[in-house]
Amino acid sequence: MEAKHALRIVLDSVPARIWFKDDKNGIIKLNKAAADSMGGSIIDFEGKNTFDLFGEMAQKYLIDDLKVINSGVPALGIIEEYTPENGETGWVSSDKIPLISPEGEKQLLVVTTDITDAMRKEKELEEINKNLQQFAAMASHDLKAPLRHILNGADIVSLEHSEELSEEIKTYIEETRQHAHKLRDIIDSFLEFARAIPGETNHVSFDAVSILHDVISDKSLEIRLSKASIIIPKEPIWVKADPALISRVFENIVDNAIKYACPMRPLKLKIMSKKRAGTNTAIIFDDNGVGISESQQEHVFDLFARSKKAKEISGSGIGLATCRRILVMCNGEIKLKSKKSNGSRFVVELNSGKAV
Amino acid sequence: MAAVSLLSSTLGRLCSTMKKILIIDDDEYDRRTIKYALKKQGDNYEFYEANNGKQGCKMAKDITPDITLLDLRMPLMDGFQTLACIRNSAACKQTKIFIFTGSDDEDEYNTALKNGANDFITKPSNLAGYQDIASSLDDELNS
Repeated sequence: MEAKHALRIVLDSVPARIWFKDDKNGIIKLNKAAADSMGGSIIDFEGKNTFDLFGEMAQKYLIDDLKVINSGVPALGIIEEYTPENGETGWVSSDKIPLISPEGEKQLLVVTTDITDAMRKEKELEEINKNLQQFAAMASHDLKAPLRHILNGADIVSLEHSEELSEEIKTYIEETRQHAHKLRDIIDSFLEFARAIPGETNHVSFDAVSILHDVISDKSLEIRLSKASIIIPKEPIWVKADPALISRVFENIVDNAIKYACPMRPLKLKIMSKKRAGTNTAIIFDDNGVGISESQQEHVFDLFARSKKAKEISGSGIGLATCRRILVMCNGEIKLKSKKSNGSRFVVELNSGKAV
Repeated sequence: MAAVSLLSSTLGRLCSTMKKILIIDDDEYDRRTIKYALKKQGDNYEFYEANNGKQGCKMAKDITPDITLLDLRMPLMDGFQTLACIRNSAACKQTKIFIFTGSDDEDEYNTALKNGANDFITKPSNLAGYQDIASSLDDELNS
């Protein structure tokens, strides 16, 4: 088979739209998918100038093309909106690769994939997430108000009528208060989980050790009261993620270590870091707490998962589900290794960052 | 006559030190709780209450309160609209407006302060929290 004919078959068989262009906005060659997208056949466009086809838009194409042609550096994954004549607006992802022809002329290979469906789904998902966040905020507000009234009512009765109340009634009031606090924790965690939705992340390089110091400092009272000791690395750990979100992950892990400390011994939590192969950094949290049995480990990151031992410990079972969700948003991962009665090891893997 | 004059001057002094507090909140229980906590601080407050923003703004213009506690999510006129309404009133230039809401949203905090609120207070979940707020408001009024 003649090479030229074989190339034509290959070009017309792929779903991507392919153009070969010169440095004056002229279309040298294109495939069938490209011609279809422009509403014609190959012969309608080959040898034509983009200025004749797209009017004003062509000037923008030329500027973009010349940037790549003159720099000699390919531009990959450019996402652009387009509106074909008599067509609906869509989105394409394009790769522009500079070429030199055998005659020494500067040319450009443009490979474009239609991503309209994916973009529409992404926009729909953004809208759903936005609605979910609004719903969570409203639900949280509407649930918190009656809860606040229950707690305030219990406090006022205890304060103003303490002498008239029997010990039994006082116990009931105290239990009411405890249950209301538990419910408030659940609502707060639910809201935190609902707020951990992709979309507004701010990925920068930062020192995870400095965030750990802030988290530990916020919990200094609980740490002192429980006689816990927490060892933080002395050297900075540079990672790339959203620092505000990662701070919430660290807070959850430290909270869990304190909550699930072994009653027989004070908590020892050692935090270390390890460079992984490739571009990842692992931050490891080793504790000597009650541990988690193997059967429970696979569910620990599920929503509303709680330790069976946790009946008397405050918490909602949402914290680790939130952590996992945040790590996905930060292109990271959270893993658990644990042995019952022998402590837990949480490993947070993140992209390595640059020292700033 | 001297006794009457002394009584009248004492009453006048007392009246002039009475501070007007306007609570604009559609939640009756929250109004009642903050009032309870403020009363524990002393008896030099006059309380006025409105259960929506529209009524609250009108009341603020009429009584020119020293402090307004303003909820955000309310019927007829929400907290931000009410804030603008009170701030646009020449009579209420000296009124301190504290947003008093169940929300802890950072965007709402920034919007409120940008639009003339003196501070943004998230409603606490227990009485001790209300008492702390009442104590701070008392300090604010007597500073």
